[in-house]
Amino acid sequence: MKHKEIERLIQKKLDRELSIDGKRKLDMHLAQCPQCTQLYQEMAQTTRSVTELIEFYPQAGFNARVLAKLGLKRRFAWTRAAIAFIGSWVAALLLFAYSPLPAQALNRLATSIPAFMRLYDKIQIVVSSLNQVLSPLVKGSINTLNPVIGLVFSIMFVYFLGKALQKEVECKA
Amino acid sequence: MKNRKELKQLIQKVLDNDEAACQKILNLYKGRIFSYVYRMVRNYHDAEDITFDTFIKCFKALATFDTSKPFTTWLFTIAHNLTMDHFRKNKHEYEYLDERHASSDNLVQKYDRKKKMEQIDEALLQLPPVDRELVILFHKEEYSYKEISEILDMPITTIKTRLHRARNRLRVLVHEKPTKT
Repeated sequence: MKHKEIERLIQKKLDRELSIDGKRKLDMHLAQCPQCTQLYQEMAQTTRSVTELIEFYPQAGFNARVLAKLGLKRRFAWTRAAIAFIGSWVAALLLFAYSPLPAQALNRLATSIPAFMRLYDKIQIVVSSLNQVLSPLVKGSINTLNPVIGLVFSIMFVYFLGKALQKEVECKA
Repeated sequence: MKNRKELKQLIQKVLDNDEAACQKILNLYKGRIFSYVYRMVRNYHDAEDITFDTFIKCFKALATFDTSKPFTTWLFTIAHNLTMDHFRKNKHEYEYLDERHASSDNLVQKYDRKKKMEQIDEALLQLPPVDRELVILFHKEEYSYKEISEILDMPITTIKTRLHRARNRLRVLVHEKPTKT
């Protein structure tokens, strides 16, 4: 068999298209022709090297850039956080101003949980101190209920802020 | 991607603006696309820009993608077209770029001090871009002639002829020492 024909069979094999008959012919020839064997080995090694080529990657932050371009990105919802902040503040004030329930609940809490009472006393000390400092500057005295309102408000704020900080996906794409 | 159904679900999630699904697509394919583009243009920043545009185009056109067809073939088609645009913009003759930069002497000199992978990468660089692309798509990405024909919009017979020639050239570059003049 001519070497040219063998070269064609080698190409077919590398093309993943060699028939069983072609493979038999090729193997038979390669077994007795060092020249074609060398050619085949070199061709096979070259293509195998291409298969084993390493993979390159773009720089870190590539995904973020793509997502940002698409309008798909993690954002801190400042608007929502502000609305939650103001809303909870107003709600707490209205609740304490017009409903006896929060005050009753606080009294019950204070009498049933000694730790809460001790905390309440400590807050009162701080408030009294502040009262002493601020009394020359403001009319009247500071209502001790205000820190409690502040505490309730803080809890609500932290809760809503936590919600707002959860992963938010906004898509403009 | 394990199967077509899984890919379909992933694509649907992307269409529903699921950020995690987009991340998954990016993580699955950015290496393959970037490697292919980088080996074509041989410039890291250009390759990153083309890869970036490829994914932007992919996500924006995903609604038009026919899920009965292979996703990666479609993705590589986008990458190929953008790479060709890059060549055109930079006035490279993709189809007929000659091999004037080929230097077998240098290649052989480098043989002893470079690793095998670096050597084959160097050899690939000596091929005209179209031949290099065929070698990468066929042997590295393991696409069939039919798929390559779809990606490059080129007849299968042309692809075969060029690939055979490219393989021979590559073998010569890697294994044969040049005749000294």
